[in-house]
Amino acid sequence: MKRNLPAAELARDSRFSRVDFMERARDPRPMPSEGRGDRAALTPDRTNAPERARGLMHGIFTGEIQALEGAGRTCWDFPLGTGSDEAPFELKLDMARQCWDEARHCEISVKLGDWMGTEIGEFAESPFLYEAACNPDPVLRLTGVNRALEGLAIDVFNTMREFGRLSGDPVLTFCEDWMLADEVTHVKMGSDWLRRLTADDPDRRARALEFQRVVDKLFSLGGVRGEDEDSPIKLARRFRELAGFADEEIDEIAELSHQAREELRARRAAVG
Amino acid sequence: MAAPSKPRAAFAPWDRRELPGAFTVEESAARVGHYKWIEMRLFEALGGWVATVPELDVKMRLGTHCYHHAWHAELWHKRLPELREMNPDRLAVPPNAELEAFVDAMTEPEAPELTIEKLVGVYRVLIPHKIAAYTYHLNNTSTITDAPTIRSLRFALQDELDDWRDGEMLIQSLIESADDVDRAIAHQAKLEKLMVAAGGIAGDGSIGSQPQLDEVSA
Amino acid sequence: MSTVLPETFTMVLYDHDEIANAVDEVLGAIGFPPDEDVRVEVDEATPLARTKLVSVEPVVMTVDGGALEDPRRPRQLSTTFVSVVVGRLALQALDRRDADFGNPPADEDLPVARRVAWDVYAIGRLARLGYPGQRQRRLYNFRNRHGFTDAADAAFDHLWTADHLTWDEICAISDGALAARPDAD
Repeated sequence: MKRNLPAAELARDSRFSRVDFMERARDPRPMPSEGRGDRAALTPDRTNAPERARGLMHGIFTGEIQALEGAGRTCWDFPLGTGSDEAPFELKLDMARQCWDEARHCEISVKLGDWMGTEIGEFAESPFLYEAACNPDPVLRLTGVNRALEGLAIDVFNTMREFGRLSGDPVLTFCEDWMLADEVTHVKMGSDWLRRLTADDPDRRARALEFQRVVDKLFSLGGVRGEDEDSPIKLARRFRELAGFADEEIDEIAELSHQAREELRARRAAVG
Repeated sequence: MAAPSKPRAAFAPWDRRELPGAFTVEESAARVGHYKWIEMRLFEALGGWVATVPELDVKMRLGTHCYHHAWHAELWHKRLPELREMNPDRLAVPPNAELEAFVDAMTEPEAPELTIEKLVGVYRVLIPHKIAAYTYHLNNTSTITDAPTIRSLRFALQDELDDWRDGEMLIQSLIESADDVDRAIAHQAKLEKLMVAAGGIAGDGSIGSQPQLDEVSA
Repeated sequence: MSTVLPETFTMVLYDHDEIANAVDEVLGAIGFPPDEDVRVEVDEATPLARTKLVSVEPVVMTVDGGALEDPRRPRQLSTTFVSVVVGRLALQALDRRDADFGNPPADEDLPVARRVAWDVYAIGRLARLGYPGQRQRRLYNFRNRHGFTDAADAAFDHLWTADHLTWDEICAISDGALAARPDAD
């Protein structure tokens, strides 16, 4: 079995339909303006809120599959050791634990899909989470997956949990809260390992944090995830603190999201 | 009322544990080192395969089982220093080159249409051999001096038996034709021969050896 | 007989004739008068999914392009969605025309809960004609508006399986479920 499996080779059954980033970028239709469609806050008072929640939940489901695959590949891709392309024993154990957690999240997501009336594969899957986060350098992979991707998961699950609470949906609230607890563990794993593996290598740490910035900005989805008042997915500051993010780091993610939003606005204005 | 100071036997009448065991400290450590090695290879393989199997139920199950075997590797990793092996990596080695060849062959299937082969290698060859080796160790080591190993073996065996059942049921659900049966048997036979050459997951003596018995004279 | 606009799509990969055929088929299935024209205006320039019954006599409906889009294949048509969207709006147009049905407010004045209840009543009828109703999806939407309660589930079942309800009956069913919400006053 080879190391570093490309996203194009992620195995799926026939129900899944994959759409890549370029296909979406080629869509000539103007994106919904802010406050409309997927760029609106996910609150029960919105007419299409339940449908948006279904779509988002399916996106979470496919994201969990990719997270499971990413954690699994990290167990395999890096030989045991302390070199720059190796992983220490304890890190591999943590990734195996994450594998279990993500498998459980897939199971929960399938059950939530049943609850919400969503079929597996009802919405297209985009592999950009696996693509963006997986990196042949184990430290960059940790920052991409455990800090950026799982950090986004914290924000999304917090949003969905709140939606469940506001809409009075006991099942959604329960499930999102349990998954949220696991994600805090995963992000903390990433924070702790980043510190340990780069304790004597400040250059490597700087590269990892720069990679994380790039991925965080990508994962802000043009400002959909952010800390602005009207951000549909809010940065879950408290849970990120529990997971080992410093205030300055969270501030930076908020700023990156704001930049992404401004850049998108500028592009839309240029198109007219 | 029982008098607190009245002497009692150190071993209660129902506690039939005896001292002798088949393994010295070093022999137990050597086996535990081999266990750690094979559990690591197994959890790495299961983790790597998750992304390569299209069947959603198999994908999720492999993720769960990956953790079970990683945890076993951790149990063995922690046991080694207690068996006077202060460098847990030194003994975490395969018993011989033949078992390495087995692992290479077991992890060779990669394509998405080879789920049967992937599962057969683990659940019809490796895990049954692990169950056999763990059971032999459990039944032959000193129940008093090697109690910590026994405890870990029992935990590991519970997972192994559960995972064996999970895997076997998945295999049975995937095998739908005579061709599928042939595939499963062919791959099992190929790997079983490699395991025989290795002597088991702990090498020769993995499940003990048959005593030399004299034939009964007529 | 239907009129579908635009004749040609440039931003999405929709085929006019495919949409028209699906519209005609569902209109026939629900018993819409065959000599009447139904006009379906598709706004292809948006991925949103809003739909509106603009006029009842004649029937004119506006549909955001996203409402007919296959969620698995961006910019591609789902004829299933055409059938369900147009079928629902056409059934509601027929309801409005039926003197026995009553006098519902204009679409833009409908409270969300009552709109959802009426949608369930319409899609339940479509499902019995063989169109994919996605019952659990509709139930989830209904629960979001009426509460996650046994009363709401019973109300949903009533609406889903009913024929020949009046507007007042739909309102009473919806209101009954709303009254059972834990947060109801």
